[in-house]
Amino acid sequence: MKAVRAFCMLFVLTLVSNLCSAQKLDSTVRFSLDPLLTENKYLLQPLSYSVQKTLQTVIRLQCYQYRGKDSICIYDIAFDNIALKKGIHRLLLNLERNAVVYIVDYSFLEAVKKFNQLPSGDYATVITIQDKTHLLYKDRYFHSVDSVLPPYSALKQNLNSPLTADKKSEKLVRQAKNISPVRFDNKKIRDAAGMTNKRASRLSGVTSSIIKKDNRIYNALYYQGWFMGYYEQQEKKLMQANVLQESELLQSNPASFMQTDVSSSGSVSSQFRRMKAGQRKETETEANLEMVGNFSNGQEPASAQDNNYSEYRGSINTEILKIPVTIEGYYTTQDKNRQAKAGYFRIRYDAEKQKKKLEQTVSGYKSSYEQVQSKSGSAKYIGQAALSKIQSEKAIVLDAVRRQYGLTPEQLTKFGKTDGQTASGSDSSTEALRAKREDILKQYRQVEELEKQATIYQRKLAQYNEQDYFENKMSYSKVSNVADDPQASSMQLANAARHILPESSNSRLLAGLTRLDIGILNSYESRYTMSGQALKGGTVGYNLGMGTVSLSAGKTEYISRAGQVDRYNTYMARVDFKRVHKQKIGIIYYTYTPTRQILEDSRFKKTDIALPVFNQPVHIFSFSHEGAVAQFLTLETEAALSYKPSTRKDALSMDHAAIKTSLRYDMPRIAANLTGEWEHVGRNFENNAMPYMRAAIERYALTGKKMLLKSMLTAGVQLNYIQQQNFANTAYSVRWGFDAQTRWKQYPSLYLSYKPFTTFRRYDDTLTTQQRPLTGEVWLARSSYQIKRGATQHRFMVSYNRNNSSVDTMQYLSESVQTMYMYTTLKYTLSGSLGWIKQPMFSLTDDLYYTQAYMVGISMNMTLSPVHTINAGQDVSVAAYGIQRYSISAGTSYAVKRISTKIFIQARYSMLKATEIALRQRLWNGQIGLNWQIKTKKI
Amino acid sequence: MILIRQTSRRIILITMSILLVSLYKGYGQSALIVNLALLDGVELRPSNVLNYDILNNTGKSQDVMVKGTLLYRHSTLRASYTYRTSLSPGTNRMSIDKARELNWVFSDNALKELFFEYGKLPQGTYEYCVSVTPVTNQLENPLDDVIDECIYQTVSDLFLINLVSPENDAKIAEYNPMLNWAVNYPFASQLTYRLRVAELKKGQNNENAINRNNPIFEDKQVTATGLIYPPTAKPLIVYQPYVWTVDAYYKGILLGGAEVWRFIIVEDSLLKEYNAVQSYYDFAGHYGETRITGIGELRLKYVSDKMNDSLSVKIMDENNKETKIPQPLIGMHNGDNFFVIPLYEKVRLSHGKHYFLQLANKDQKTFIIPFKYLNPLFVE
Repeated sequence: MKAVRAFCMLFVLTLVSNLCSAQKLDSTVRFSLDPLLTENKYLLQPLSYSVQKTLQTVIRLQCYQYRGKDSICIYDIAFDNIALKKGIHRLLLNLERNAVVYIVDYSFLEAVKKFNQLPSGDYATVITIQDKTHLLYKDRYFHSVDSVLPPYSALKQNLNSPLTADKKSEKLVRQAKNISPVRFDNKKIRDAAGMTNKRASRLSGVTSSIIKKDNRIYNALYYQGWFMGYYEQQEKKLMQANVLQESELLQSNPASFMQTDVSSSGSVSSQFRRMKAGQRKETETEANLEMVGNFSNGQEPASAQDNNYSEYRGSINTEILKIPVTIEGYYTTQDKNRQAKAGYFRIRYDAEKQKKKLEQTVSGYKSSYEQVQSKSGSAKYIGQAALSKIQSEKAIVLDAVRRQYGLTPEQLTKFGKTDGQTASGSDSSTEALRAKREDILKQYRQVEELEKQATIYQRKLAQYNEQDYFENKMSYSKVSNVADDPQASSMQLANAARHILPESSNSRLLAGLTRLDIGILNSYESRYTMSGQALKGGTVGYNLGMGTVSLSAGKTEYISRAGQVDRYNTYMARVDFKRVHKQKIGIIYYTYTPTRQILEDSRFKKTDIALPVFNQPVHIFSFSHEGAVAQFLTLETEAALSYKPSTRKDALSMDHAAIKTSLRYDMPRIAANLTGEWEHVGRNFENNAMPYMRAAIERYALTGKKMLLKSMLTAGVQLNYIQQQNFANTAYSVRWGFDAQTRWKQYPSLYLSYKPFTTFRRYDDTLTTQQRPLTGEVWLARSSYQIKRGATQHRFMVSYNRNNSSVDTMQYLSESVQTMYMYTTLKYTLSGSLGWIKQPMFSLTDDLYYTQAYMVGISMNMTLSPVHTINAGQDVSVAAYGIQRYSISAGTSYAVKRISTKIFIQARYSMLKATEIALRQRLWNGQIGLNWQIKTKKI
Repeated sequence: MILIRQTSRRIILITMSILLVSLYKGYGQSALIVNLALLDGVELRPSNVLNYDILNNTGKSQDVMVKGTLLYRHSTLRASYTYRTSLSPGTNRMSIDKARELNWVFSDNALKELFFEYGKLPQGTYEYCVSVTPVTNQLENPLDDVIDECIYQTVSDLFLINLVSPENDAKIAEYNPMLNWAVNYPFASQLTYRLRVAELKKGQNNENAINRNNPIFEDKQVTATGLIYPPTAKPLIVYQPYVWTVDAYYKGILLGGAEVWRFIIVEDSLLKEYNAVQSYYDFAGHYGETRITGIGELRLKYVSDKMNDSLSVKIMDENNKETKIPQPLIGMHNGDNFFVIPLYEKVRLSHGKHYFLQLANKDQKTFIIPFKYLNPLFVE
């Protein structure tokens, strides 16, 4: 090893002087070299370049570390057949996939690989690039690594692990706040340093020594003789808080750890990338589990729920194979007694979470770059100032030489290079020079040293500029394009983050994934295709750049209003094109085929050999568009066409089509908006798997809203017109809606809504079909007011509802008045309500009569402690025949903070008599539940 | 050309079906064949119920008894007819005019009215079979020679009811809401309605909730086009989302209904309208005199003059009790920092209540920001 180092030193001494000036042999090429990176247990050498044409090259890297005035060679490696593509690119040379190794100090590479940091010191890397015939480029790059152990260093994180293990962040922050910053306890600090020492000694190859510097205590850490850096020691609690803060800052503000001077440790993207590689990989899991048991000796009239049932619900947000997923499940014991089950289980890829992570990275890099950029001016200025200082020092020395010895700079150089042999004459001046030979040679060496320093500074400044050029071209320009675009897809973000994230953290394959759902899904694709039915199957979506492609397959369950389940085999392919000029276009192909289950009935005769049309698949093509057609004018449309293979193509018409289009016009100047809507569903448009079919309709809707009197009054109007031709004749329905709402702080708020509606037929239809038009109206008036007195509040509400409809000679009228008063303090909530309702009923002899009921209720909620609440209530309802309902309820909830669990119990006793002839019912209902929230972080 | 190809494909399919029917019944060389191809995929109406062919291969005229049977799956609804006719050799296209003494039998009078007066069949999947029985000799047992053929069809659930109030996604204050709808049926006066109200469980959409959950309220005998949620029904709970829909019955036969709407009861009688787009609040220049509003989150601005700065975050209620937050420390950079503190589903805060946000920078300089928390669910 010593021989190697000696050889290196000799080699360097001869090379350094030669390499001080760059040898850019091809003026069209530009290069920039960053320090080594560690990713996936490989050592990578980043190289940014700009070339005019694709080149096949041989690249040689020679890296030196300065030790005082000398330097040692760390590695000298060559790579064969490296293709440099035309344009501006970034290349990562894997040091382990080299062609020739001239010199390598494996312990150095091991240190970098193991700890994701370069040992502290100043480095120079000579890069030589040549193509088949000639030398293209040769230059030297300088990098400096600070003597303080960086927070992304694996060594530091390893030493920190006892400080972070099993500690909750909140607790640590609280502890940190309790520590006075002026307290300084040497013993406690020494204890901490001792612990660090002990921890370091357990790491193979790592040695540590405690040193005191500027009244501070540090651990100096070495790996196989390489100085990795100092780690300042403090009291354990303070160190814990610092570790937490460093970790937070590393995530939220990585720029605070970046080196920004001209002797920096690389470009922003390479520093950012190294920090990301060094961040602790945390898998955060959040789970919410809920169990509720319901017990009763009967049910309220008209309730179809089971007397006793329990429900279990759970959701987990975690990562599986680094993919963020959400697992959800629900089960109720009521499912035992019904064909259509409410329970579900699904696993969904959390695309939003994935996107959010990328957004955070991209904005973190952008802000880091901008911060560094804001300081780059001063960094360059400092560099220039240092250079000027050296140059002026050199000028002073040269001036002194000229004045003292009468030597010009050229003569001094000649004198120095010949070691004073140029002064070989016999004249007095030469004699004098000879006499002062040693002094002159000293001055000469000083000038030479200053020249070297100046050359290095010039080179560093040039390197800084090149680095900035590539940074801007390769990373920042791409990132800034997407960082401020809310429409940017994960794929665009991942592409922009290509150079700022380690490969392992930036899976573009994953970023392209927009959906991956498996299980029982609520699939809503569009109004006329999959529109919310439960799909037992899966959906996958992928962003291909020009748009997103999604595929779904599975069994769709259509549940009829009678509760029967019909299963269809469904398949869907969807393409959503990228938004261009605020226009978004999508195409869906959806097909379904009835399963044999639909014909399951023991009385059916020939389901096996039925004529084919029933079993034929139904194909639906849907086209959707959404976009701005003018300023403040937006259009949204879906147009779908359905057919079976047996449908004659020339017979396809608007009867097979379904179209919905809406146009919205916002008028910001007058604080109003207007929306118009048209929907057409042809009578032959078929989608039996839809939850409900709007067949054979023509619908027009108009909605307007206007703010008046400085937003104190909002007025709205709606018109809905439907024409439907399901039967032999056509039905028409018109519904209007008018509403107004006031908002005042001093006065009660008011809301008034009036909705008249009518159905009628054409005049000629009335002659052929027995029919009676229906007319009706709905009134709703509501007022509320709040009075606040410090922490107490009084809230009042009164509402009036009225529905009046008439068919032929029959007239129905329903009315209700409901009032509420609520008194709230910090501890209590007391409320009381009064109500009156009136609605029509039919007697056993089909005579229409009206029932009336008066209701009164009170309830109370009290917070006993932040974790414990109780509630109680009572209500009575009286009809003409006496008390129809009397109910009393009580409950409590208690939260066990330590285990993030909440338990709640609710009980109710009711006495009910729904009608005059109904039997009196006495019901006991109870509910007991448990909610458990879990949040863990796994490193 | 396409038309010819389609027609020939159709003929092949029909022929294959006929052959299969024949093989199934053991009539390899059947003398009479029923062909329902004209009705396949078409909803039955009084006018087209006899639109089928009967093939007479006997080479001579044949008197037959024809029977049509309509049977609904998993239902007691059924209808049948019989008529006697004479078949000429070859294909005999049947029609309503050719049938003599067509005798209909309906399981339900309402079905008969619906079919004949309004030309409509109820929603559901039905089987329509036509059987032909030769009547050559009175002494022969006609049952031995029954030839039949069936088709299947699904009648869609018809969207014929428009819900009126409360609007979809309405936030209401009444514990006994008035539910109203309008109807498009020509025979509105003869309809009864089934009103269903069900809980919407987390992870369900409106359609699945109404179809898969047992309703908490179901009234099948509503005659008016509206109903006030009765006081004797299961009490509705505040902040629990509910879904509701209405089905229409014509004299007990389910025809179709409305889409599914959702409503939620909220404590505040009137929801306040807030500007959803909130600007970033530069809190450093204030001393707690301004109460800001946080709809699900707080948007803040902080200008830092340090390289490594951070803000520790605490939320206290009006009693100075601290509430747990997921990110108690936020890193800041030198210059303008715009940041968002997420609250909705992250921090346990009560809607409409007042809290204090306490921020402290690295120099332990503390800022107090009073704010009112609004749950985005309860804000218009």
